[in-house]
Amino acid sequence: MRASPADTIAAISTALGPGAIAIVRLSGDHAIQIAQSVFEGASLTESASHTVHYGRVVDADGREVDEVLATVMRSPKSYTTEDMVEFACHGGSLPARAVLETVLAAGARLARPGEFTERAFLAGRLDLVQAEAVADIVAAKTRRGLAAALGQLEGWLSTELSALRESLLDLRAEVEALIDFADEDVGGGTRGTVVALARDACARADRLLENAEVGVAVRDGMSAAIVGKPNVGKSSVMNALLMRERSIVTALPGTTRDAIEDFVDISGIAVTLIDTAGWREAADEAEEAGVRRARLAARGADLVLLVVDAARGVDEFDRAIASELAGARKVVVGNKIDLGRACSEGELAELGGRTGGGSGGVAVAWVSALTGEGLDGLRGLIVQGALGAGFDEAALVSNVRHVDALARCRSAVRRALELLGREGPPELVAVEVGEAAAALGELTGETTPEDVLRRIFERFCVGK
Amino acid sequence: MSDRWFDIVVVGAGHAACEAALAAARLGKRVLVVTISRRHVAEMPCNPAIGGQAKGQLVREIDALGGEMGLAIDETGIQFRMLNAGKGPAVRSPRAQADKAEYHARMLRALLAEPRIELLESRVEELLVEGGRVKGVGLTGARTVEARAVILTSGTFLCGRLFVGLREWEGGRSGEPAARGLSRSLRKLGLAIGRLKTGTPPRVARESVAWEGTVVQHGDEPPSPFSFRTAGLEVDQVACHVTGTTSRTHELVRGGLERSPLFTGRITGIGPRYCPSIEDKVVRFPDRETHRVILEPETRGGDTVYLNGLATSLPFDVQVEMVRSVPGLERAELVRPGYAVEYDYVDPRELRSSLEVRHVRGLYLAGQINGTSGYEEAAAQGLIAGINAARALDDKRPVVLSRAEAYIGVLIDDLVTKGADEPYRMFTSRAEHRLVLRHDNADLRLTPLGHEIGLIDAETAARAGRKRDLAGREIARLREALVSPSRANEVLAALGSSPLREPVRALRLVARPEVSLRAVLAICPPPVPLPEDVERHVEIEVKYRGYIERARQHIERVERLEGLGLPRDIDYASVHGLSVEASQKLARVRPETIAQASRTPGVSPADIGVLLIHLRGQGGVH
Repeated sequence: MRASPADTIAAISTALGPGAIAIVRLSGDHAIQIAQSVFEGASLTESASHTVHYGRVVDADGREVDEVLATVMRSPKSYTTEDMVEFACHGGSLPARAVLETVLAAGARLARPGEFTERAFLAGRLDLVQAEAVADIVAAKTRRGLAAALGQLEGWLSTELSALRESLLDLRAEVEALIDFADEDVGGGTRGTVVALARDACARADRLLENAEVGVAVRDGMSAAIVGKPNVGKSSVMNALLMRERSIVTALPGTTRDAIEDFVDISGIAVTLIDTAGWREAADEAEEAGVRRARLAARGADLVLLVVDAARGVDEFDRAIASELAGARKVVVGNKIDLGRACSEGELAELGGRTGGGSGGVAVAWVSALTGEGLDGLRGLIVQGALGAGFDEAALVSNVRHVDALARCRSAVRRALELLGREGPPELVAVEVGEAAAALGELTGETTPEDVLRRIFERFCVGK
Repeated sequence: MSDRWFDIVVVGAGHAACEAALAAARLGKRVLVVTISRRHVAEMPCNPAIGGQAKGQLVREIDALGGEMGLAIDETGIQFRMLNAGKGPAVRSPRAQADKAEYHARMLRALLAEPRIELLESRVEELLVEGGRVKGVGLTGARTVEARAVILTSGTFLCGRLFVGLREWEGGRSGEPAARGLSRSLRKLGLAIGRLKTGTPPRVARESVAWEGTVVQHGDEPPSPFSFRTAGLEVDQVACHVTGTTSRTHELVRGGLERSPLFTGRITGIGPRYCPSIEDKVVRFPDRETHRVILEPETRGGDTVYLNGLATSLPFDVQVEMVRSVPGLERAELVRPGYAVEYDYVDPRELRSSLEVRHVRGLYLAGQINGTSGYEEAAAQGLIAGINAARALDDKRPVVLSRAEAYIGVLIDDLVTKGADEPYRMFTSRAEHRLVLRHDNADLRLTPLGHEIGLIDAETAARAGRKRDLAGREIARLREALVSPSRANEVLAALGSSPLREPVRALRLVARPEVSLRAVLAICPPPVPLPEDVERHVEIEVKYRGYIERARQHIERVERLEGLGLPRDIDYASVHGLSVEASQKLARVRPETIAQASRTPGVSPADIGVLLIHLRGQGGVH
């Protein structure tokens, strides 16, 4: 039996986008073990097959990632016939992505498109009709993915990725020339050149990864949680941004008891707006649950829109909420300006603290959800907040698969550098560099041994 | 009516042919070897050397499977070196200079000593094929020979053309005629045929070389043999000499380009990039002040020297001047000019992994005819073709080595899935499992198979088995044995390795890069001293453990797919969901397994998923 954690695969198995729940699925010999290592609330390793457990997914630092339901299915009674675990996360792409990243960090490998099905198939689980249906899906999914990937490979990202690919190819050519043409007088292929090229590749991977977060926003969209104390007009702001009635808007405080999500396209970015219950000492049980979720949503979101009642001014409670969200990227929204302005820009900016808007400045928007005044400015701040300071329409490494591939690429280059640092043998350096190239190849297309040889022949005067 | 009857006819008598004939005969088949002249059996028309990077590994594998090349070079080598000795052990390769006359004589003796081999001097003009099955060959003079299988190893002879400057004539090799009829016969069978080119440097008279102008290059002492069956080597080794081109050489080369068949477009075939002519090197790397030239004796006592590094097809007069511009060669007498040869080859994608032509049962191709270059690559294919032709006659499944088992597996898999756009030479970088495909463990990898096939005797197989057991036991012992600080620290200090604070397992110490196995064995000796080959093997396995483990995991993943066979008659155009490119490429290559399909250029992982699903639907995976 295979017994390598690398053989346990994971992926989000529900479509990205709005939905009540999203499922992250793991399959492989270590599926239950890996799931357990990120799960708190029940013992998955000791539980029977086909049982469901409530709990939390936590990351390596013990921070909560999401509340989930974990379903354990033991081999052979699962789709793939391997041990499987499914985490049902909160809907929207964000929680599922965070959970997926957590299980990948815990040792699972990101599944290739169709890999669950491939495993099911290899284990003889599919009949003819199912198999053909799945073939359609695999083909279609990949083509869509490919189209998306191609669409993405333009401009800065494409340039950066090809530059990284080139620098890895140069690196491989140097290393392989050291090995395959050792007895030939090829010129070049020295350790110094190898180290310099490896550093260059590493720096390029770093830069691409720095942009990853921004890219995710562009590609998969971003989320903005609307928070504030009761009755400052959070739902009205949401509806104004959506330009339709969605949340239940009443003059009664505490009407919105649950987090409500909806999508809006702002400047080409899919923004998930999350309307949350007002933060206050809860009046009833349902509301308490709502407030808890509001806090969760605010912490998980890419951006927080902190709404205050501009007509009434900033009070202690507003400040308490602001300080609880001190670490978050925020836009402070002074709502109800149609009724007057009882506070200064400075007071609002103070609530913002560290903000996501502009270039380190404080993002404050004065709006009237009722009249629509100031909404365009707010939209602009949301986009800036999503993309972060210094966004130059470059970007952008976007989905989890890409980030995962780049991260693996960079780790391999780092291991190569580490080996070079202690004079390790070139064939081991070659293993690491080859692995880096293979990881990057998932984004840019494979680099074949033929490509490497071609580069060697271009650069070196090979041949006795 | 045919004149004679054989199980197998081998066409040609080069390195592929010798291995094919010997293997088939030793597996009980009656073999006829047809060659234009027996004086050229196992000829080395280019470099008088065997082995080298990746090629040395091939020879070790040929040997482990029961081939002849390793034994032959051990007996006739005149200088032995281990390349990459300063690098990690996984990429070391043995190489030897051969006495080419002795090597030829040694191989000819082997053929003649085999009672089931008959050697015939003649030329094959035609392949006899009926109903998709080979029936024999037609020889010059309208004679025919009937056979159940034919192995073609025609080297550079198919429609061969030779070039020296603007002079151009028909020939398979210097002084030997080309084979046109055979080429025609292959075209008639509908095989895709292309054109390749290769070249060779001039030879000079030994007494005309001024050795003092050169740097001596000696062999290793003691020399390490190629064959696992060679007990010990005692060779009086001969030196090579290193010199290099000068700016005058480059000037002469540039001046001769207008009469170069390469640079005037007369040669259209594609040449090997890794073995460029001096013309190519001078043109492509104008900044290089010198290109290395190695003077290699062609025989131990003989009178010709091979000028490694000066392959050329420039006109004779330019060659003379060019050679004389090299230090040490000022008065050199050219005894044979360098020349280029252009020849037909068959697109190896016409072949199955067994090296049998897909559409012609019983017809096997091996060596340069498949687009490869190199004696070792040829011999490897010859061995496999010989084994498989013999096995097919016994209704046995063909021997197909995987990429994880052997360089030979990489070689054949590359050929049949990717074809050859230039003469294909083996490089270690072509083997994704390089760390496990080492020369030191070729016997452990392949000797059991060689024995099973019937080419390795029980004693040799048992010896490999003992090596494996000893190594396994020693690794287990090192894993358990505790080394105390008091015993180890003095030795560790001498090696610049950090001292121990508490006892550790011996294996942990061996894993330290700066600590050799020998040093650990001195502290913590085994009950019985280890033979040297076992010690070497254990050391590599322990030091590379993490990497070898990773490689093995990778291999296991791939092997699941290697086990999934693809039916021969699959209609790729009708596979639901397969991309157009993939279906065209797959129809061209006709891979035999899912893994091979996944390596076919133009086939994506998604296509493989689709293919798996299709097969499952058809009930076609086995």
